[in-house]
Amino acid sequence: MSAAPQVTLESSDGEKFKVDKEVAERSVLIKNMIEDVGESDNPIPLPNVNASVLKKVLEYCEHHRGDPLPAADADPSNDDNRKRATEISDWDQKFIQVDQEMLFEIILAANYMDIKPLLDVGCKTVANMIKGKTPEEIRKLFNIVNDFTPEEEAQIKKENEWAEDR
Amino acid sequence: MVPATNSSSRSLIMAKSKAHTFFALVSRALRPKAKAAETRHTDTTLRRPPLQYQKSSKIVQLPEEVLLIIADHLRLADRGRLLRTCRYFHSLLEVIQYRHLDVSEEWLLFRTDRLYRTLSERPDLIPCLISYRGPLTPIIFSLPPKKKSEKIKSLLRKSTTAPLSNSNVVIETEPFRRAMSIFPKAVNLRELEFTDCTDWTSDPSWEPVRTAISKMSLTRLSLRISSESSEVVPQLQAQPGLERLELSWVPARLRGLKETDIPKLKSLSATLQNAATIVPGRPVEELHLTLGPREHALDEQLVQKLSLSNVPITKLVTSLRCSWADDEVRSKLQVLARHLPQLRHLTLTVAGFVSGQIMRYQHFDFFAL
Repeated sequence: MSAAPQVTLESSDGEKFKVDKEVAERSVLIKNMIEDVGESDNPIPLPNVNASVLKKVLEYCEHHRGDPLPAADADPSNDDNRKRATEISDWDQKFIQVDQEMLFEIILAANYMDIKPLLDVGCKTVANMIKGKTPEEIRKLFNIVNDFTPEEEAQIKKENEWAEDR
Repeated sequence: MVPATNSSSRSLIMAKSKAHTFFALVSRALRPKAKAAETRHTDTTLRRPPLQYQKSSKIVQLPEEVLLIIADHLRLADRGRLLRTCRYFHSLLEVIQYRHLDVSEEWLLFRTDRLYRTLSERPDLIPCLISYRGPLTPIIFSLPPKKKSEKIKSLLRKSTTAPLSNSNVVIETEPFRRAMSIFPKAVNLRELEFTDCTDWTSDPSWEPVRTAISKMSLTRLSLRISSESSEVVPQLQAQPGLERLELSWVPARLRGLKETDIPKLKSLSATLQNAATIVPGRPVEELHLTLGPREHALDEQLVQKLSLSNVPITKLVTSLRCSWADDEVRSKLQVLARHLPQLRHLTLTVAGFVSGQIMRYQHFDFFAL
């Protein structure tokens, strides 16, 4: 049996990662690149992802290498898709326990490299951080500047009263 | 004459645009250069990524499509609090908040009047509505505030099918006025279910709502029919794109429904009697049969008509109001197997206990029994 085919990825800061093609192809971006260019020994450059983030992303891809690929066109108007559960599997939960800076870097990398399940894990994690918090607590958590005037803030609070569950 | 009007209106536009450019030039000249970009950010479009004043917030910097995925994972209340944090999130998420409204959840039902108040004060939000499930008229409770919550909760528990128009709940003219000011403007609605007993299909006072709904292009419509004289056929005829239809409470009078009406119907929930009229000649693949007042269970002649659907019916949900002896259930299952042989999903509610034995007689697969 011959060794599994491998590809080399190059991070924005020039570090090279040699991984199994199957692992790299969890990223739709890379999969398409390989299909377009064909197999080659040249490293695939990822100018938007630095080495520490790429390492983390590849760790995810390695763990999920055998997973079935998600349906390309899940109908967003479908009830089941709309009310997706915010549960995250145990391994993913541990994997995504990183500081906020890294969390957002992973989300950006997953979005850029088109790794939908990873993007979802990241977004669910952010959603879980927001859950149950007041606007002021959310602002504090994410460094958001309150740019409403007091009048606007009162007006928007009133307009959204109906959706408030407490 | 006509070309002259044309050219004069064109020159008017030219003059306008010239004036516009002129003012733009003047104001650009008057404004210090460095500040120009920043001012453009803050005054007109709030949707623009607010790099100028949210520099320190990583979450605000995320691409819009990512923020929308995050918002998708949030519940209504959490999303409502996120959009109150800053202008950018408000402009991005407010429209999403009104896209799919399901006001039938208990906690939200108590807030219908507040939702309606917002919508009547902000009519610009009404076209955001894509799907709506909830009462047509907001409910205003006439009990003292302390008692009302418990009272209504017990009412809701007691009656899942009966309308909420009991003596404790007063539907007043103000909610009526508000409902009238909202639904005729909801021009982008695709899925509609009114959960109250209002007979908007026949009652003359609901004419504006009726007209507005018949102009919408619905894909899903749920009708609660409160009397056998309700006029549902005109509403169905106005909806050539309808894919899902639910008729509940009492059987609908379907006289006048033409073969060419609702040609895209895929999923139907109705009494067997109504289904036998609607299904033939339409591409119905999913059926939910409810039992009408005089229907006992799965009359074979009517079931036979269901086999005249344009496509094989693959999913059926129904209940049997017959005795729960195995024999009886078995014979009904055989009726289904004879006329709907391509069923893949069957959910059957039987009053009583049925042994596992009878399932072995069947020729088709049961996935959801």
